[in-house]
Amino acid sequence: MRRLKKGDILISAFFLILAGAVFFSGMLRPSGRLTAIITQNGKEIRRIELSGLTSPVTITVSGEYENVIKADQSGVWVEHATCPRQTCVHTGKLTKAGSCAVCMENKMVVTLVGDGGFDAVAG
Amino acid sequence: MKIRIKTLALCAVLTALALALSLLESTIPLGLIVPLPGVKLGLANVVTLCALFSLGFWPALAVLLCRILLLFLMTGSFTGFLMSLGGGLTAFLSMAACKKGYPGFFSLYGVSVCGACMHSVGQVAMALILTQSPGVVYYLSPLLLTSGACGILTAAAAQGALRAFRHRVE
Repeated sequence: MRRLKKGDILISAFFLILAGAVFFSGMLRPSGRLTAIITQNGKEIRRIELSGLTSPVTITVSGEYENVIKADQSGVWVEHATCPRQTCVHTGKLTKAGSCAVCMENKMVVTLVGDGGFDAVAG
Repeated sequence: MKIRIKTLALCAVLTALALALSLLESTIPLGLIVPLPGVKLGLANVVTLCALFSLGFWPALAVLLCRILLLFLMTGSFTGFLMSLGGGLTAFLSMAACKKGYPGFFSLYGVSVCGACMHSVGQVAMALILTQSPGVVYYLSPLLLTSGACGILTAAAAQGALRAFRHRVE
């Protein structure tokens, strides 16, 4: 009963490969010019082209809670938030296309999009 | 369907235990080490596993749904409720499916790892529906790794618990 079975190895390998596949499909996406897209409740509320920025900008997303987002040429990050879990703040600075910071409590997502656009790859 | 009183009582005890474990693990700031939404130890899954292997499909499903509903009533977070429901149900159904191959093809570890990983898949799918943003998918790879590791831990705990539990049940 204690010994590992063939299925254990197979199922672990399957999920490892799945994790790897998702990871590499994220790595392969084009970077180049980055655009930060802020959505709330599935609707886009703000779009910032990062390479076009000369000075850092601050955006405040209100709702049930408040997220203060900052963006400069190198990336975008959630500076602080009033939500209890602070996951979006702990995510840190987003610099790669495809990465995102999520605030489940506020249904707010900050996504970085590269030149190719998101839907071209993610379908 | 006739429900044995002993089964009913065991379900109630297991639900209480699962609820306590869920609340306990929400106090562990695992998010500081792995900064991802939804990262947790999955202690309540120990109870789901035990219920599934000792009581069967329907009692275990009842324990799971009661736990999720009661946790929602206690925390009041509807988003959290939907996330637990998405993760919990996918995890449970995949574990019930894996149980068909137990003990020949899968050991308890395989069932638990599959459940933990499918929990992540379910949560990411639910987050995808709730946020309508495809970028959420990229959380899946780190989540799968952490939940897979947690799945091994919960299997070890469930194995010990089941050994003690089986003497009492029958």
